[in-house]
Amino acid sequence: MDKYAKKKLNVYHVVFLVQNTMGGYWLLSLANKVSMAGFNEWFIPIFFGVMANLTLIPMIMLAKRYPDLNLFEINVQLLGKWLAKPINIIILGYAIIFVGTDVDDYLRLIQSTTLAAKSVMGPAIAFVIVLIYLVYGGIKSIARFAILSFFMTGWMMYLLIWPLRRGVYTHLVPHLLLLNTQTLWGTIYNGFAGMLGYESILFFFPYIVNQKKAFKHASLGIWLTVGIYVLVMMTCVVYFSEWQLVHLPHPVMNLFSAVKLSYIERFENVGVGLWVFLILSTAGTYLWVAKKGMDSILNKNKTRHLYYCVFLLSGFFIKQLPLPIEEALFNNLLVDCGFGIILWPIVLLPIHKIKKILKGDQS
Amino acid sequence: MKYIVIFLTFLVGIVSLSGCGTTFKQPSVEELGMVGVIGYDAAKGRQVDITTAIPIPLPGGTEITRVYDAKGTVTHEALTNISQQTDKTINLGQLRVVLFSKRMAKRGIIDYARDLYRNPQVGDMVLIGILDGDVDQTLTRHQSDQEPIQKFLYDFLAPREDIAFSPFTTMQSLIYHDTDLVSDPMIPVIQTEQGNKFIITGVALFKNGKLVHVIQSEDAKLLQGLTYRNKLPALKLKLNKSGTEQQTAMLSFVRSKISIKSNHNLENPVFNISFNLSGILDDYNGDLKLTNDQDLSKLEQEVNQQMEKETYQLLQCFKKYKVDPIGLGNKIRMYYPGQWSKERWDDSLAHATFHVKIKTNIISTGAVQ
Repeated sequence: MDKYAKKKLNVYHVVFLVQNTMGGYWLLSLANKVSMAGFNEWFIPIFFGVMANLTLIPMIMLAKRYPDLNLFEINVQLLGKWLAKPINIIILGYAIIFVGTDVDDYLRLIQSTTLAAKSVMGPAIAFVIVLIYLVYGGIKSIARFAILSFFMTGWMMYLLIWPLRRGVYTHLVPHLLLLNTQTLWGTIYNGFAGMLGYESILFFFPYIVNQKKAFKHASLGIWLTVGIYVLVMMTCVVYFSEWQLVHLPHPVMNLFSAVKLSYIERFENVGVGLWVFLILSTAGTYLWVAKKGMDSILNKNKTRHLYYCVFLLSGFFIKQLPLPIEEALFNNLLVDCGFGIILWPIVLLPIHKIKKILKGDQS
Repeated sequence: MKYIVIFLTFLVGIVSLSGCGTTFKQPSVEELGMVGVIGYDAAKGRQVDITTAIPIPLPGGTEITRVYDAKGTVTHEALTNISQQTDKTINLGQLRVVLFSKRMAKRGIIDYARDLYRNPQVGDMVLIGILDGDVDQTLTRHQSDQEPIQKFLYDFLAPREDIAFSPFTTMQSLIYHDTDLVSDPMIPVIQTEQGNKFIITGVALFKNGKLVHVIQSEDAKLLQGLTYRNKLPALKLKLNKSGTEQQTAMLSFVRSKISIKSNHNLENPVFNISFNLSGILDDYNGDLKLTNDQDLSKLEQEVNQQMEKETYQLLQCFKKYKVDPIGLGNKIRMYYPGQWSKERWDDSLAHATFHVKIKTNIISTGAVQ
C-alpha cells in the first residue's frame, strides 16, 4: 500500500507505538521492582511520567532539526563516521539486549507458570518467527500491531475489579516522610526501565506524518502508560502486603488469579497467554530499531540485516548465561544504556548548535 | 531463496544446539494424579504427615477418590514419597482445599502454607480450613463416599450466606494477613461429628503462624461484622432472664453499617466502633408484645445492650491474645508518620481502649400480628 512512502505514521500510530513499546514485560513486574517505596509505590509512576515527559523535549527538539533522519543517521551527521559508528553499535546492542530481555523474561514466566516442566524452545521459535514477520512489514505494521494489542489486552484492566474488591484501601494513604532521597533514587534506578520505550521516537520520527504535533502525541502515549501503571499499582498496593510486593516477582499474575468466574478457573494462565501481544509489540519496535542500526552500520538498507539481528538475538536462547553475567547484562547495563540514550539528545543539541555556528562563520 | 536458506540454517542451528539427553515422556491427563485436597497432620519431631485425596477416573465416566499419605519435613518431600505409592504423576494444579489439623495449627502452619504458595501450580484462591481431629483418618473414612470428598469440601468451605461467620480463608488471604504489618490471619475450624458429618464450629485466630485461640461461631458472626462485610449473618442473642427462663431473640439483618474511628495515637490507642443495623426479628420467646411500639423499642434496647456486651468481650479477647484479625491497626497506621512495626502495634493493642455503640432498628417482626 504505502510501503515506499516515507511518511506513514498517523496520530493513532504514534500514540500507541509509544504506549505499547513502553508497557510490555515491565507492567508484570513493576510493582515488585519499585517495592522499596512500600505502599507509596502507587504514585511513583507519576514521577516517572514527569521525567519521561521532560526528557522527551530535547528528543523532539533534536528530531525536528533533522526531520528525515533517525538517531543513527543524526549521529553520523553530527559526529562524523568514525565517532558515530561505535555509538551506533552500542545503541544496536542496547536494542538487541532489550528485545532479548523482554522475550527471555517472558519465556521464563511461561516456563514457570503455564508450561512447567516443559522446554520452551518450541514457543521461543514460534515467537521469533512471528516477530520477524511483524518487523518485516516495517514500522507501520508494528504500529498497527500495537493498536491491536492495546485493545486485545486493555480489557484485562476490567479484571482488576476482583482484587480491588478484596483490597484494604487505607494502604493508599501516602506516607511521604518514608520516601527519602535514597529510596527515591533506588526506585528510579530499578523501576524507570519500565518507562523505557518512548525513546524509540528518535528512530521512527522521520516516518511521522504530522511531525509538528509529535510531542503532543508521544506525551499522550507516555501518560496513557502512566495511567495504566498507576491503576495496576494501586490495585497491587491495596491487595498485597509489603512482604508480598517484595517477594512476588510478577504481582500482576497474582492479581489475575484473584479473578473468579464460573466458567473459567485459574485465569492467570489466560493472562500470561494474552501478554504475548504486549511483548511482541515491545520487542517488535526494538528489533526494528536494531535493524535500522544494522543498516546504518553497514551503510546499506537491506532486508537481510533483520536476519543478522535475529541471529544476534538467538544467542539469548541457545545458551543460558551464568546468572551474575546475565544480571549485569540484562538489568544494569540495559538500564544504564537506556538512560544514556534518553539523555543523548542533550549532548547532541549543543553539538548541532556549534556546528551551525561554525558553518555560519565559514559562509 | 538465499534468505530462506539462511533462515532454515538458523532454525536447524537453534534446534540442534539446544542439546541432547534422555527425555521423559510428558504424562497425559489420565496419567496425572490431580490432588484435590491436601492435609497436614503433626508427626513426631519436625516431621509432618501429609495426606492427599486424588480423584481417579474409571472407565464408564465414574470417579473414585484415593487417599494417600506420607511423612516428610517439607511438603515436596512428602509428595515425592506419595508419588512412589501411585502409578500417577502427582500434580497440584487442581488443588482446591488445604486442611491443617488443630495440633498442626498449634505447632505452626505458615512454613507449609508458604511451600504451597511458592509453587506456581497451586492457585491463590485455594481454600484453607483447620480440622479438629486427624486429617488422615477423616479423609480415609470419606474416600468411598458417593460425592467425592474434594468436591464436597470445596463447596462446604466456599462462601455461602448461611455460614457467613466463616472468614473463607484463601491462600492469598492467609499469606497476606500473616505478612501484613497490622492484621493477623483467621481460618475456619471444621469438626467431624459422629465420624462422618462435617460442621464449621468456629474461627481460629493465629499469631505468628500459630493458633492461639478459637472463637465459637456465634461470636465469629460479630467478628465478621467488624470486617466491613455489608451484611451480618443471622444472630441469636441471649437477652435478660424473665424469671428462670432464658429469653432469646433471633435476628437476621437486612443492612449493617459499621464505622471504626481511632484517635490516631499509637501509644494509647482508642477506638470508637459503631454499628448501625437494620434487621428482621425471626424468633422471639420473651414476654414483650411486639405489636406495641414501646415494647419493640425496649426490645431494641435490650438487643443493643447485649450486642455491645458481646462485641466488647470479643475485642477484649483480641487484646488478650494480641491479635488483630480485622485490621484495626490500619486506622492508626494511615496517620502514623514513621516506620511502622508489627511488634509495636501488638504491644499497643494489648492496652487499647474500645468504645462500642450499637444501634439496632427492627424493621419487621414477621407477617403475623
